[in-house]
Amino acid sequence: MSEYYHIDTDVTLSEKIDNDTVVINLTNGCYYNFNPTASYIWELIGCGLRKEDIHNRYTSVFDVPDDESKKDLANIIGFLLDNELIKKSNSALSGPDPTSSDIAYVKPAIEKFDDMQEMLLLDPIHEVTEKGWPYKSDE
Amino acid sequence: MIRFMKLQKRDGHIKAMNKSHDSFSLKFIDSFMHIEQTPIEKFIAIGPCNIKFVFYNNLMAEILIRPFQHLVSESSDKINFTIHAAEDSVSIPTPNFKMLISDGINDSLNQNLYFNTDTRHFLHNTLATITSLVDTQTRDAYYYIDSVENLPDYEKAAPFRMIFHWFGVMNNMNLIHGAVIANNGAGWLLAGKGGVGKSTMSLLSQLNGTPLLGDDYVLIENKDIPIAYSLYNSIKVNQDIIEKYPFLDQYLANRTSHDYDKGYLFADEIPGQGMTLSAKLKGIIMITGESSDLPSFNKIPRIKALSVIGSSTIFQMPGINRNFLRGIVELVNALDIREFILGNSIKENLVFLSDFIDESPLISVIMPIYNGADRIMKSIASVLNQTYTNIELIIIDDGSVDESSEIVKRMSDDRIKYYFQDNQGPAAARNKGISFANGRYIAFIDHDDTWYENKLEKQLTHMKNHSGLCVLYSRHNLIYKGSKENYIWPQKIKGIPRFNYELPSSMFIDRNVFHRIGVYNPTYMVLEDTELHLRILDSGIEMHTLDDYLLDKYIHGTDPLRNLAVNDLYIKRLFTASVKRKHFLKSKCISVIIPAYNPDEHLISCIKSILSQTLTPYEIVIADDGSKNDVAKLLSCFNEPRIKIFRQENKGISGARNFAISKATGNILAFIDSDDLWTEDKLQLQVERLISDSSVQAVFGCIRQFYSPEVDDAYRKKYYFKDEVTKGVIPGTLMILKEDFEKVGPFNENLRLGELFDWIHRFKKQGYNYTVLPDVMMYRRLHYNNNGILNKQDRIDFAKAFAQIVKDKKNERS
Repeated sequence: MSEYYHIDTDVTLSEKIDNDTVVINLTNGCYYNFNPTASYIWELIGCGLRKEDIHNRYTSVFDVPDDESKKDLANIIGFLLDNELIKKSNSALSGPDPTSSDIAYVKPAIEKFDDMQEMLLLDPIHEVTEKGWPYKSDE
Repeated sequence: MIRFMKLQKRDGHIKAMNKSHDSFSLKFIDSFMHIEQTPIEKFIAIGPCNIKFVFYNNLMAEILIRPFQHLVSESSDKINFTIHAAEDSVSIPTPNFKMLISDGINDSLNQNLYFNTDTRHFLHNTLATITSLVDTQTRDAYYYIDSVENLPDYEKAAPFRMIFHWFGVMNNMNLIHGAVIANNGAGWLLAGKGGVGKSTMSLLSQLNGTPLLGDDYVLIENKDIPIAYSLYNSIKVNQDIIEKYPFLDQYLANRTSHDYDKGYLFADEIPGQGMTLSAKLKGIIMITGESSDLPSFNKIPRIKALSVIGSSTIFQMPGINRNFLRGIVELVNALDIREFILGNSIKENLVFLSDFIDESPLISVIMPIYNGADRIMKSIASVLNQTYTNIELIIIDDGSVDESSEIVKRMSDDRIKYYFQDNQGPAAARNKGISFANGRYIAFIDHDDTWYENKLEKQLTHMKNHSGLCVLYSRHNLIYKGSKENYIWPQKIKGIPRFNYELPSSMFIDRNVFHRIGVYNPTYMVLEDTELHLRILDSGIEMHTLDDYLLDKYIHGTDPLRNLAVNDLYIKRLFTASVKRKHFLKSKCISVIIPAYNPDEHLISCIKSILSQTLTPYEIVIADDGSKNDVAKLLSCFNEPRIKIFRQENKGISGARNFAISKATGNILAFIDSDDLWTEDKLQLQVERLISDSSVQAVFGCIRQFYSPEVDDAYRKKYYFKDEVTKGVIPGTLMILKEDFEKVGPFNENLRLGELFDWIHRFKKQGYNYTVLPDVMMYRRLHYNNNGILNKQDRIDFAKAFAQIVKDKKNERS
C-alpha cells in the first residue's frame, strides 16, 4: 500500500524566505525554520508525492548515498509527524511542484522555536478558516 | 359545583373543607388514569427521597426535566413520591377537566385559585393555566398544563413549585424562596426582597468559584442544623448582568426569545464548578438594597429575616401550608443572621462574600532555605504545629549544599512541598514559592525563625475582621545568637515609613497583592523585603501590624545585611525607585488608542466600557482609518471632550494604531479594538502593576470571548469556541508607557495580521518583559465582521511576520 503525507493547511502556515521556509503550527504554538534541503522536502510532501517518489525526487536532486538520503528523509518526516505538521494518508492530495532550484546539499535541518507559544495559542481568531476553528466542539 | 377559594392577600390562608373538593379531586385524578399515551418515566433523588416523574409526551419530559438534570438518577427503587405531568393538547382525552375548572372559575381576575383539604392540595394558576394537585396520602402529584411550549419562562426554569412545597411538607422540609451558596458542605442562604441581587450574587459567586446549591428556591430540612437540598439548577439573569458579563448571553436558555429581562440559564452549562446537592446551613445572609463604598456585614434582628423570607416565599407560593411560618421561625432561630450591605464594586462584593463563607481558607506558607540544616527542624515544626491547620508548607531549597534536603525529606507531613533550585537568593526563592502557592493567603518564614503556635490563627482572624486589608505583620522577639554589637538590626532604616517590626517571617498577605504590584525584586540581594514593603506603601495597599508578639527572630551574625556599604547602595536604589513611582503616579495620564474602520454601534459599547472605568483615562484617541461612515456622528451621543477623533486615509489596523499613537498626549498607552469591551477595573489594575513593578514594561490581561447578541445560531455553530478565560497577549489588553513603546517602535504597517508578534519580538529585543495579569480585562466580541483571517493575503502576512522574526534571529546570531 502506498503511503502519502498531507500538510494540514488548516493548522499550519508557511512562508518561504530565500531558500528557507518558516512554518507555523497554530495548534502547538511553535514555529519552525527549515533550511533549504528541509524546505525542499517540505515542498515535495506538499505536492502530494508517494513516500517512494519523494525519495526518488530527493536523490535525483541531491547527490547523496542511498542510505544517507533514506536517513535524511526518515528523520525529517518523523520530525514533521511528531510535530503534527503533516499527517499520514492513503490518498494523494496534489499541490504545486517544488519551486526551489539549484540547492546545494546541506544536511536537512529544522529549527524549532517556542518563544511565541503563549501568544500563538491564545488567539483563536487567527486560527479561523472557512471550516471554523481547528478545535472541534465537544459534541 | 366546585367552590374555589380565592386568594385574598389580607386574609392569608383560608382553609376550606368541602366535600365537593374531594369529589373534584377524584375526577381530576381519574382523568390521568385514562391517558392513552405511553408514559415516559424519569427519576431524581433529593437527599434521601426518590421521586418519579411520569410524563405523557417527549417534549414535556425534555423541557420539564431540564432544571432537575443535576438530580437525575437511574434508580427506580423505593420511590417516595410520584409526579404525573400531562398537557392538554395531546394527553387528556376528555374535556371533563377543562369543564371542571371553568365551572369553578367565576372571577377571571383572580390569578390563583386553590383549595386545601386534609390530604389534598389544589392550585390553579389562571394566567399561565397551570394546575397542580397533590395527594399527600397516596404520595402522588398531578400537574396539568395547556402546552409545555407555551409555559412562561419562570415555570420552565422552576416547574412544579407548588408540588414541591407539599413534597417538602411531607418530608419535614420547607421550600424556601432564596439562594444557597456552599463551601465545603457548609451553606449560606442568600435572601432578600425581590430585585436586591440574590440571583446576581449567586450566579457570580458560582462563576467566582463558590459552588451554588440553588438560585431561587431551595428545600430546607428542619433540624437542629438545617440541611439545604438543591432542587433546580436554573439561575435568573438580569439584563444589566449580561451587559457587564457578555459571555453569559450564550448560556441563556431563552436567549432567542430576546426577553433578557427575564433571562435564565442552567448552572451546569457554565464551565466550572457544578452544583452542590446538599449542605448544612450555617446562616442567612440578607442582602439589602442599600449600598456603601465597601461591602460590609451587619448583625440584624432575627425578626427582620423572618419577615423577608416569610413574606417573599408566601408571595411566590399562594395557598401553602399554614404551618409554613412555624417552620421558618425554627429555621431563622437555628441560624446565624447577617445583613450584607453591598459595596459599589461587584468584584469586591464577590471577594468579600466568598471570603466570608470560606471560614478556613488555605494558607500557603513559603519557607526559603539555604544551608540551614542545624535550624530548619525547629522552624518547620513551628509551622506544622500551628493551631490553624489548613496550610501548605512550600519549602524552596535555594541550592543548599548541607543536609537540609535530607532533613526535609525525612519529615512525613503531607502538607510539605519541597522544591530545589540553584542558589538565586531569598527574593527569587520566595518568588518561586509564590508561583507554586495555592492558598488564598500567603505567609513567609525564614528558615531560622520560629512562629508561636497561634501566629496564623491570630493573623487570619484579624484579616477576616478587616475588609479591604491586604497585608498584615506582627511584632517579634529578637534572639541574639552571638555578640549584639555587630548588628544594625533592628535599627530603623531612615526614612522608610512604618518600617519597624515588618519582617518577612511576620508577613501575612493576600496573594492578590503580588498580582497587583509584582513579586519580590530578585535583583535585590539584600533588603528585598524592604523594597517590597515600600512598593506596598507607595501603591496605597492597606497594611496593618498586629501589636502581638508572634515569632522569634534569630540573629546569627552571618546575615548579608551586615555589610553597611552594600546596604547603603541598595537603600539608595530603592528610594530612587520609590520617588520615580510616586512621581509617575501623580503624573499618570492614560491615552486609550482605538483604531476604527467603518465602526458600528459596537464602538459605542466599547467606549461605554472605557468611560465607566474605575480609573478614568485622560483621553480616548480614535483613528478613523478612512471609514465610509461618519464616526463623529456615531459618537455624538457621548458629548465627551475626552473623545478625540483623527481621520486618515485607510492604512489598515497597524497604520491606524500608529496614527492614533502619534496624536496621543498621555504618558501611558492602552489599546482596545473598536468592537471589544473592557472590564471595569482594567486600567486601574494595569496601571498599578506597570508603575509598581520595574521588572515589566508591558502589561496584558486575560480575556474571555462572547458572541455578539445579534449573531445567529449558524454562526455560533461554525465558530464554536470553548468558553474559558485565556491569557490575552493581544493589543486589546496591552498597556505600556509611551516612552517604552517609542523605544520598541511602531507596529509594522506592512502586516495586516501577525503585527503583534512582530512587535513583541522587537519588544523582547529591547530586553523588555511583559506580564499577563490573571484578571479578565477584556471581553472579545465575536461577530459577523471580525473573521478577517478568511482573507488569504492575511494568512500570508501572518507567516511573513514570522519569517521576519526568524530572519532577525539568524542575523543576531551571525
